Amino acid sequence: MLDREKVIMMTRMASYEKGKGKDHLRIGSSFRADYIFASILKAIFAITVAFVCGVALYIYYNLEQFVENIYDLDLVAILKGFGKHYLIVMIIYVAICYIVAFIRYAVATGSIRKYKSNLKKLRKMQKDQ
Amino acid sequence: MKSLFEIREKVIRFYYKYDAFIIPVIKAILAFIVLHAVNSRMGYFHKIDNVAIELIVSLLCSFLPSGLILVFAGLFSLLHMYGLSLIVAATGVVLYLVIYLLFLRFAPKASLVVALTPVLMLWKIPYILPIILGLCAAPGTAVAMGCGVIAYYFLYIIDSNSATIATMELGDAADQLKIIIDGMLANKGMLIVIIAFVVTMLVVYFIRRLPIKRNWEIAIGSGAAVQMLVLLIGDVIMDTGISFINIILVSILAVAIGFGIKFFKYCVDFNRTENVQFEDDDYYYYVKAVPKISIALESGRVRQINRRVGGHGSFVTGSEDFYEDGLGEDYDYSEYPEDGEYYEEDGYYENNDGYYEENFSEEDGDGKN
Repeated sequence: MLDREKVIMMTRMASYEKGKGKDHLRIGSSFRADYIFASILKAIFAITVAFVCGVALYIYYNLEQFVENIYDLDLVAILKGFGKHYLIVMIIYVAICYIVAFIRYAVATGSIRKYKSNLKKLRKMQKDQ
Repeated sequence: MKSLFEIREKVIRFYYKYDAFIIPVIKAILAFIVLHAVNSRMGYFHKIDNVAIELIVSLLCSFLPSGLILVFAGLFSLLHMYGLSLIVAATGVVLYLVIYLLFLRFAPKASLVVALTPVLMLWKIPYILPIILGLCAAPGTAVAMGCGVIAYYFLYIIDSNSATIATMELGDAADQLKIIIDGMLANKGMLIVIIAFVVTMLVVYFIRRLPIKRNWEIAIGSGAAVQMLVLLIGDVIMDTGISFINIILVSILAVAIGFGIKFFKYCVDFNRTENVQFEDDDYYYYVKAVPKISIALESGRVRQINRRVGGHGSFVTGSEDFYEDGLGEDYDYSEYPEDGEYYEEDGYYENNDGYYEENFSEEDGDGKN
């Protein structure tokens, strides 16, 4: 015999699992520290690739100057300058990513808590049947 | 107003009934608009500058995830850049890569916004976007909008310098790059537009979420005002040359669209009809979940009823709908014998469907004032 309440609840939960829940359950499957750490690693990778692209464009843009003054270039000072900019950009970007990851994890765990409470209700319904 | 509600109800019913067809059609139309805009604006790679190709790719996009519209738009624009110059294409790859890596990870589902922003800017109506997104989207979408603005100005600079770049040879690669980068850095309008869009969207978003009366109306109005103000200040400080008549006209359009969204948003859950599958110990379930239409109905009104016309089972109420005997308003009902009973005393009431029912009690709810 079909239980109307049970079907409604299962449908809602299945819909959640298919939609928003897909991301939330993935995020909630790891510990907060692990999730944030993984996000920061991705952020460092992204900012490094973007910075390398930026440096490549900068060098290409100033190629004539570099070629003309190739023997007078203070490579150490240039590398230090790049490194300083890289660190500043990376710290700002990683801080933003940390905050975003923190909020995303909090939202996901809140939503999963509701989902789990529905699961409990469903189990209780099945026991009562 | 009542007819507007009726139209709204019809639109919603139509949407829920045919959403399986409407959404692919909308996706195909959007894809075609974006690809056609890229082709008509750039058109340096003649092999893809063809309406048939645009249509085929649009049809593909109709059943693929909406994020692929942006991917196809990016590919089309890169091919056109390649048709113009290899260096321009390489710069495009770098820019798109940086945008993807740094910004789109904050709003992975808003890729359509990135694709549509340049199109709206091309049509000179970009100022509607922050207000619409502030009403409908999450604040992270502001990042996608900013990326769209950057992409538009990048393509604009390539387009406006295409004649110069086309005459250059591969040996002048550095000069080509200089033209593009200098153009981007010198374009103060881009920065002002990004700031104005982000500020406007956040203002609309946060005011809309405030627990105050008329928050939607205030959000739409203040969003339009803030946008105009920021653009005006930006223009005064940086002399961007933005057309203010256009801003005012588009802001009025944005306000109108905002009220349109408010009109529908309160009653439409734009979640689609969902087909879900699950199982328990006894059954496999294949469920089609259709969102309920939750239109706020007008509360019922108790009307002063004059009298009942006997013998016809029909009632005189002052509204043509209720002359159910078909004799019409002009008919002289005094000819009918009166039973001398007032409906209000009998407990008749008008419910939301406009009919009268007997034995109305307060628990029934709908008919009371």
